[in-house]
Amino acid sequence: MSIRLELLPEEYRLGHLFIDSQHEILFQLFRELSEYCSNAEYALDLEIILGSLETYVDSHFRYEEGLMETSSYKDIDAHRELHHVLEKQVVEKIKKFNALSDRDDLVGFAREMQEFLSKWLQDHIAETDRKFCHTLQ
Amino acid sequence: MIIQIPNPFNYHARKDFLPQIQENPEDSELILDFNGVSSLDSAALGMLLMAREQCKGIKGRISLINCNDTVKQILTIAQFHMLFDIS
Ligand SMILES: [Fe+2]
Repeated sequence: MSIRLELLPEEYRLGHLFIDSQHEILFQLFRELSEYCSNAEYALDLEIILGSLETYVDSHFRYEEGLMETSSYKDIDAHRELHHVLEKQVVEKIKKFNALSDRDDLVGFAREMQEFLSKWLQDHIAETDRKFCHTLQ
Repeated sequence: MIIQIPNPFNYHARKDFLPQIQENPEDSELILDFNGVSSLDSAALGMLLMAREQCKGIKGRISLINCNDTVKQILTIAQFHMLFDIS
């Protein structure tokens, strides 16, 4: 049983069923954000998209950390610290979003979030997670 | 409120599925019935996360019922057993 990787780019595929599938779901949420940027009127509430991201980032990080523990990954502390920093950044972004009013530029904020997330997905998945997944093989 | 999940549950379902979720009365439980559902893709998993978020705003709970083994396995791979009541 597996989840088809529809959006996850080739260079982000790490060969681990659970981790690749979870990254694919992060890309699905990223797609919602992109849809908001291109057509906010018809997209889901930005609040829902951001909340889903925050929730799933937490689940996904805890899964990875659990796996690092059981596999006695030597760089677990550094990787966990990176997760922590990213989570703090997401919380900051959401705080910033909550402080916006309806008259503020929500699409502008969504674009900023999109940029932040795309850089993060690139650095974190393609590099940091790859290092860890290598050790599992 | 009980919502019957369409089969297959994928990106095409979102137009019908997400507005239905928004109709769930405040503070009430939302039950998603997976009876007859044999597959779901990553877009559907994304929708479930957003449905959960939608219910969180209205203090609701969300349960996924009548999931077959395949569906349960997919939900486990996604770690959704940490986020939903699944049976
Ligand atoms: Fe990851």
